[in-house]
Amino acid sequence: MAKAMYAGLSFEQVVTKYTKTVGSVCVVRLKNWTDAEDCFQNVFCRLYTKSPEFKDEEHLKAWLIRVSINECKNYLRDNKPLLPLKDAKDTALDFPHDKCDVSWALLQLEPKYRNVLYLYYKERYKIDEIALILNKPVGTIKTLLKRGKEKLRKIYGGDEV
Amino acid sequence: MKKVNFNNLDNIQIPESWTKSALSLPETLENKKKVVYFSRFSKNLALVASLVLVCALSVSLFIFTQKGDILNAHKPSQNSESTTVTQTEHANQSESEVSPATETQEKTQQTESSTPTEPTQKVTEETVTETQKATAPTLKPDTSDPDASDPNGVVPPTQKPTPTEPPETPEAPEEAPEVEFDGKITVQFPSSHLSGNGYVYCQIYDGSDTLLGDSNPYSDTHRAFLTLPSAGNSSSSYVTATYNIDKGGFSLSKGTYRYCFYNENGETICSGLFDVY
Repeated sequence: MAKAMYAGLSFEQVVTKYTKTVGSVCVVRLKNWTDAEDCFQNVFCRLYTKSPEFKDEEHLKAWLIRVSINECKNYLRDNKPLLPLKDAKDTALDFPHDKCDVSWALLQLEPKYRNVLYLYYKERYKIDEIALILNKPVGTIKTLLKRGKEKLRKIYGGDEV
Repeated sequence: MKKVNFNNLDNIQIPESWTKSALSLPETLENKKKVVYFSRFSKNLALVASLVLVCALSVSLFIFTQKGDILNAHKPSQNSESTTVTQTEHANQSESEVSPATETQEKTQQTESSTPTEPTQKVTEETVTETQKATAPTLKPDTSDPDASDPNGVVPPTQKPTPTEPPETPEAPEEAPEVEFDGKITVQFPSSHLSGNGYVYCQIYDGSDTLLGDSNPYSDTHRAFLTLPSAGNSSSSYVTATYNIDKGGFSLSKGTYRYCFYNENGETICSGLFDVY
């Protein structure tokens, strides 16, 4: 049986190339390593089982991010009441450096700001692309981006570079 | 002043185990047995079950309808049986000998000749009309068969259907003087034999084949009376006709006579022989 190709990439190549992107989206969204790993596996499991057709790698990357966000939403919806607070503390995201890390500050924001800021600054997506990925209007993305910056500045302090 | 450097987002390091697990997904998924949930096919199953139920109902309804047709067809078949009897009897009209089959024919004709003590003639009295019951002078209870206690069994057996009828026992002639001839001949035939207004006539011929009574075949003296078929057979096309000999204005002496029922067109419906003791 011929192996499925995703925008010219094999499954192994896709996993290797987009592990950090998908993993970061899941971690930023869930703020929990264990939960993020589940969603991470679900994203690639869905990619393998569905085998959708992609125009190019950008399409593939956008699809992975979109599916990652959806998986995280579904995970939060389905598992929210089942996770005891003390267990959540044990598996909570822990950064080794210090709490003043930008990533730590980003995780303090609300999820809707987290996604937009992450896609804008880390994945370097444009506003209209973020609007397409998150399926929201461009104006909404702009507002979320502006307010997210202000909130992040308050949390982290200092000025943007 | 501290600067917000978003490049620090790269600090999120994804563990290597995640990548390894993701790379092993194809093998895991292929080895994993595919689970088929029942709920996925519930709609199809419901559809198939509905179709099966509808088919079963249709088949049962069809069978029920067929049975009903068979039952309806069975009643005419009984009539047709008696019809054939009368027809064969008519065919035997010219025959001097009466075969055993004519015994059953005469049973349907129900010529009133049975005696209460003759058990074999009780069977032949199934289609006796109620008018005969009323005209029966004496009632003798039948001890062998309750169904045989019909008017024919009650009526004095002065007539005998055919001379060769085996049910006749030696006791019949002994009891013949005790009863009176009520002068009635009852026959059954298909209603299709009727014509015109549905009037039926009967003529009696003596041993020398001489017509008794009025020479006009359509006089009231030869008029027979139609009665309905047996009870519970309203849909039957079978007609019972009774001819009252006394009304014809003549009395019969001992001997063998021939009767002939005919319709308004003069077509013979049925005929036969009977004895007067």
